[in-house]
Amino acid sequence: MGNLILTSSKKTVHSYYSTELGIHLYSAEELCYFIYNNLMLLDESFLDDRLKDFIRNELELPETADKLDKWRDSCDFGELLLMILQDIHYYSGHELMRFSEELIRIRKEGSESIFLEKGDYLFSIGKYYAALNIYNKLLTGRNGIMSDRSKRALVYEHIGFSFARLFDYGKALASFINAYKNDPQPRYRKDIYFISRLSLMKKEPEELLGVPEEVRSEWDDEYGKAVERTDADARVMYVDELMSRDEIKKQKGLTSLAYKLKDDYRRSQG
Amino acid sequence: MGLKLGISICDDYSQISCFDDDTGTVTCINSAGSLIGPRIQTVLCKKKGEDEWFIGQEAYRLALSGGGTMVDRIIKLVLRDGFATIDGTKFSSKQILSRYLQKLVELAQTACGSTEVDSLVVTVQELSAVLSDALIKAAEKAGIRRNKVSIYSHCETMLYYLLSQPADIYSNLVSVFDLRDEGLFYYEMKVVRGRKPLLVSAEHEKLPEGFSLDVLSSDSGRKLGDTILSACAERMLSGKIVSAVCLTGKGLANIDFCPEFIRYICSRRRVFQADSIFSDGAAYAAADKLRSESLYPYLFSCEGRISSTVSVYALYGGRREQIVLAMAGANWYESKTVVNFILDDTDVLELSVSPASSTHVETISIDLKELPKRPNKTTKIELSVSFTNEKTMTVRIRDLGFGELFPSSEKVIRMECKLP
Repeated sequence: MGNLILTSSKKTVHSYYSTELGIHLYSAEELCYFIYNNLMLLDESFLDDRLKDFIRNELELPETADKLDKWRDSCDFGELLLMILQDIHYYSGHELMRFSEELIRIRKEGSESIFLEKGDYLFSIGKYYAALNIYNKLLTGRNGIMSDRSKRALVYEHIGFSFARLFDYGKALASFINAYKNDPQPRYRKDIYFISRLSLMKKEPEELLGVPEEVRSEWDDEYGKAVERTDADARVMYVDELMSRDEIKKQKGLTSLAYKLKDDYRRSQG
Repeated sequence: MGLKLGISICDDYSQISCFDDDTGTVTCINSAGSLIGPRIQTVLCKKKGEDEWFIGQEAYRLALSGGGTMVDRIIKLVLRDGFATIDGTKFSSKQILSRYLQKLVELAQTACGSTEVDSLVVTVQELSAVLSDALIKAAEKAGIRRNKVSIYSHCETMLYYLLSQPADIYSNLVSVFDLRDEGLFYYEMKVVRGRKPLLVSAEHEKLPEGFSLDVLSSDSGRKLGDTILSACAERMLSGKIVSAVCLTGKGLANIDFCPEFIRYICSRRRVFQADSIFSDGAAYAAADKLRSESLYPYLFSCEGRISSTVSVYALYGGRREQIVLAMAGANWYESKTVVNFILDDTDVLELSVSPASSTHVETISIDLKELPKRPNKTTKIELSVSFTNEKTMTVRIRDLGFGELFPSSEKVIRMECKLP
């Protein structure tokens, strides 16, 4: 059965700016939602004085802020996050249990897979540079974790995707080639093929030599469908629709779109 | 200490009463400013060529001498949003009401020797949002802040008056006959015991037998008036256990013309005259509003008071709690609640409605499917509940979104509900 959750009508005077997502949080519930759904983004630095000030002064939860100070040395990061969620009562006991399980999973699994997951999460929210940082740490990190070549290939592939999203097709191609060299799977060849077509390369990379015609034909179909999907993308259709409006509305729409794209770009940098 | 004023305004006449802190009683103020007589004609007159305004007898005198233009039926004028042209200038009904109320307040201030008003209750025969708004604004123009002003119905202030009398008066039913130029009105009050808090209910009706007070100027007219009143009393009181009958209104200020009526109502009942029952009750209410704990610990059920308690169940601090949005017995005009909720796996808002007079609980379901689809717990709504009369509630639900994560769609769902 559904419920209503009573919340405060009071709006915070100063919001909490999440550098991780590039957005402002205005309420205790938003903070909970942010923590619960972006666990991968957070590390110890999240529980800084800025956050505690926000909890103490803006959310008017001085006891929670005091607890964070008090238990800082004896509790781990996950437990402190759980403490915040418990005090705000936005999530049910069942949901908090799931959160605890997620914390345990992260603790249990090796840092390698968690790092990869974190990189993928950053990629999924459009923070490509931040994702690249994580992927590169995986490849060059002190732990030398990537002894397994197939895993190295996977990381290279994800690096390639990130560069492709940043329109740096040259680096994307180099990454896909690295992936293929580490693990000569057909999927990496397909990545190379796609990025070659996307970047309108005149000369095909040598990794594509020997790909049978019928496979190329299949990839072409797939590529065509991907392009069609892009054309039908809501943002593209919105721009088409904007262009058909009168000058004033068109200008207004394009300006607001430009702001949105700039904002997306700023977020991707980080 | 400032004044605690009660003002009754009707189209025929108005009355002002002032609560005395020392004695705990109220005193009625008349248009001459002395603390003796009760009625001030509801008329406003502007002196020709000057910005001087008069009310009551003085206004009549000035108009009759040709020294000014007079406006009457001010309440009706406000209700139909009319205007009047005085001395070549067009005045809106609200401006006229404002001038009139200002003069009434000045009268009270002069009579009581104080300019500070701590609390003002204005009482009218029938409450409406239009009239209440106009009166609040008029009071503000008269220099009385909004939070110090309340608008009550005659029914409500009658309850305050009667409950301020010795308890044996209202041991059973109390009947009130109000005869005035506007008609004959009958009020009935009863205390429903055996529940906490005690429920005090009041009803009123305008009796069709009402007659013009001019009739009473002749012998035959007076006899007819007596017959009519006797018939009404018999009809309204027979079969009821009435502990007291109260007579009020200009028509019953002198009861010599209706011996039969008096004989009937006096049998096994206490009968008393109260010339300014509504303004006195309003003054009692004005004083009570300033108390931290009311001297009237009753649940009022009458015109002007919400008939049912409206609540909603919600999680608060992790526990399921009943959140009261409107309390039975509260003044509908002053009842407005705004609460924010987050929807958790629901697209229906269920309001519980519990009438004051029964234990039955009704549910009003409001469909929220029109709100944008978002992940669970990321739609915050602002629920506001207000009233257009004691039985009609307006529910307004506004989508607030969820901060920058899910911006508001500004969508608003409105619903008008009839309370039992």
